[in-house]
Amino acid sequence: MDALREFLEGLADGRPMTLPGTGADLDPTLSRVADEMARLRLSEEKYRLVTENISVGIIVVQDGLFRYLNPMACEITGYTPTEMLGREFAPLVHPEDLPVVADRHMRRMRGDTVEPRYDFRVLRRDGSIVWVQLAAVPIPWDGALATLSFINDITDRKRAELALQRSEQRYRTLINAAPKGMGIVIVRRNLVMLANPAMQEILGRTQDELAALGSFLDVVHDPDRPLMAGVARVAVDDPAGQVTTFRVVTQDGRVTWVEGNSVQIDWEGKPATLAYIRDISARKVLEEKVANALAERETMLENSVVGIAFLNAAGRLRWANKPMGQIFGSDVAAQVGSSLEPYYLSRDDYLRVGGDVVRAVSEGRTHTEEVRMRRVDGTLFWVYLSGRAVNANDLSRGTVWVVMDITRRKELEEDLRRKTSEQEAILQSTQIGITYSVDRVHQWCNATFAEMLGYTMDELVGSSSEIHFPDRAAWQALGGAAYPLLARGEAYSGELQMLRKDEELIWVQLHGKAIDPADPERGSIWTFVDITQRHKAEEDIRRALDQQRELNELKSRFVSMTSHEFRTPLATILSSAELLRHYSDRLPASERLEILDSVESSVQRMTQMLDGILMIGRSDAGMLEFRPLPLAPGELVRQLANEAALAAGGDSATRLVVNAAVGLEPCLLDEKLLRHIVGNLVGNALKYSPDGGEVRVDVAVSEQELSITVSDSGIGIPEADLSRLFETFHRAGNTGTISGTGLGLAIVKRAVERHGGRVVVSSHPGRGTMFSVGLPALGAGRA
Amino acid sequence: MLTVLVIEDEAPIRENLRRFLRLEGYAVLDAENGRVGLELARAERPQLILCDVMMPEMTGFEVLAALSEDAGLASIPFIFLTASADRDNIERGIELGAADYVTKPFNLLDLGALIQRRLREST
Repeated sequence: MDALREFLEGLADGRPMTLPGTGADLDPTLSRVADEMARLRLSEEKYRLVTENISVGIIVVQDGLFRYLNPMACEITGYTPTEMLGREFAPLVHPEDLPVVADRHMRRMRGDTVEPRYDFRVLRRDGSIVWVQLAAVPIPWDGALATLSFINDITDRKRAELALQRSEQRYRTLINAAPKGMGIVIVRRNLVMLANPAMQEILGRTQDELAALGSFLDVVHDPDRPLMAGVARVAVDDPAGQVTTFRVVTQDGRVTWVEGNSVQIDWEGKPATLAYIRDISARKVLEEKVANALAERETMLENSVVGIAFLNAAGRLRWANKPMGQIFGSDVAAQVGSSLEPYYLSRDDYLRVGGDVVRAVSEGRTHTEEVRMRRVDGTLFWVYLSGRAVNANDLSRGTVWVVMDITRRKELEEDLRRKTSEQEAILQSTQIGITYSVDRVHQWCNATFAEMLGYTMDELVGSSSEIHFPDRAAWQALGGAAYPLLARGEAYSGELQMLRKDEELIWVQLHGKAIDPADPERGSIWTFVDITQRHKAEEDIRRALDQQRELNELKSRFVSMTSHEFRTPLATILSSAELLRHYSDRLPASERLEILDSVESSVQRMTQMLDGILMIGRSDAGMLEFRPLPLAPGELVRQLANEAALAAGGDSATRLVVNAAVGLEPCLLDEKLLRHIVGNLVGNALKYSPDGGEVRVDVAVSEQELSITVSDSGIGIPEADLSRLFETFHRAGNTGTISGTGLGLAIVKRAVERHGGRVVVSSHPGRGTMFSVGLPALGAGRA
Repeated sequence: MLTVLVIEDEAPIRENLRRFLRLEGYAVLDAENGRVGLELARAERPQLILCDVMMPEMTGFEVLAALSEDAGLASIPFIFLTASADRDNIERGIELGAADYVTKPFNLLDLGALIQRRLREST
């Protein structure tokens, strides 16, 4: 105890003490003990009290055995002083620490320089382990060297140190094992302690560059710095941290979006902040795109000219855009959760449309319809509705509706329909046939056109216009003439014949024009006017004109012939009169008679001609008298033939043979006309038989007719003259010097026709001619 | 004695002309149609020709045209006698070179004076 007292007094006096063999200053533990001793100025009794009450365990070990323990040392080890005194020190030391403790003790005893303090574990009496820090000095004890040790229970500190060591280890492990792209930084008082490679990459700075920063906030993008400063403060108060999105700037000035959170940790025994940071620039870009797209969609929906509304599965409004409000005349968008029924004209309407939509939606279709609706102010309007499922695979997500105000369109449609029907009425009521055709096929025609060609409108639409033409060539000819004009934008006009369904041909005036010359596919419009009547009238006029011209020619020829035929006998008469007046005395009597004869025959000739002309004139004027009487044809013809022969002059070498039976059944005949017929035919036959021969007259009566045939063996008639033989003043080319008026056969023809009969001629030039007259044998007995 | 050729198909007129001209002291040749007349003209070379227009076989115009082609005959005074008073015919005849165009019925004494005048002119 003395040794201990001395030691402690020394401490209390503040003498510089050098631990034997160490040369080192007293360590803090000893300083504290010394401080307590000095303050108390302890008596020996007090030393005892001090040693027994001091918070430091004090033990003295000599030769490996406990020689002293104070109560604190007993408390630390869990043993009583009685149990400990005399016992070995070694068993109290943790086996793992014993080699070190034993080694140091031995060396200290030898006088070696030994660390004055060290930690080791003590096995307590109850088996538990306490960490103690030991500071030992050698002291003399009962005449021999012993060790005075002060021990402090440092279990709590040791445990904290271990925990700290373990947590640091964890952090390092965590940091090193952080997932790719996860930047981790440990910051203490804004100074970067550690940054993993991912963090270095995100921040674009090396560990050294980061460590050199005055503040970790320097890496934060300027605008986000106040925010991050706040977060840093919050983080201190809230160890759990919270995820924050902010921007960082790399060494080279690049700004990157990151997301991070932080936790408070102990780092090397002091509080620090561990922050996780993840580069979210890609996600941020994506998010911005999505946000932009959503914003654009929103803008589109809002600024759309059509109303758009989303209804839930129960038909209640979820969302509507502004145009919906404009269309419906109320703030529809604000009526979320309500039904659109009030805008329908009736509940039936609403239910019907709703039912149609539900049906369509359930079948995966889009339902569209045009329906009349009513605004809040009562005005009616037309809308086009289009409703479909928001998601065809999930009908519970409701429907999306597109709504357009089509009132104006409906009005225009109505207007157009009215105008169209008016135009249709106009087109249908016109007297002009109209057809619209594409590629020569009727697309439309009016009733007039159909009627004009004898079809119904239905029959014509879709059929080719070829059916209206007499043949394919005529149809193609029109196409060839018209379509090149149409293609040039010009109109085609023409008149042509078309075929009705009943095969009757009609004349039409047609007019065609392309709707769009540049696009033949668009077809052409054709108008038709039935000009059959006009054409017929024109034809009649033309024919009448032709007849008139012919008549004029005839008249002019008649006049010139008449003039010629009259002037000739007049020339004879006049010259005869002059000869007789001036040369009568120098002319023999026979010549004077001849001259007088020629005057007479000229007068006769003129009289005959006059009769003939008058008769033709009457006939042409339709005034030829016809007074038929029942007459015996045989006797009459014979008589007339003989008269003719007599008139022709008896000197003729030609013989007249009349073969007419007596007592033939009487026929209704006009004697005057029959005299013209027989007289001219027989007279001609005799006149044109200059070389004699026979003129034969045959008369026969059959059931049907009286037939009179006059044949001769004279000069005949050239074939070229046969067709005009019965025209007035026409004389055959071979009549030569044989005189004639060219009236005889014309008169015959008229007289025959007046009887309702016919006359035909056959002739062989140089061999003879035969005229056959057939008169209806309306015998008096049969009449 | 001067010779006059009469070409006329109408016999009574031809006869009267022949009588008249002979009584007036002319030698008369006569033909009943144009063809015969042309032959006579070529053969006899008369001092004057009276010719009808409308005749069978050959018209008076054709006769005159044929004579005009013959240098020796072209100068013979040629008087048309015609029953046609048609202006066109008259003009045609004059164009062909006829001296006169006399329409029927004609006055014999006037015709005689005309013949004398034409004969005087041609000699």
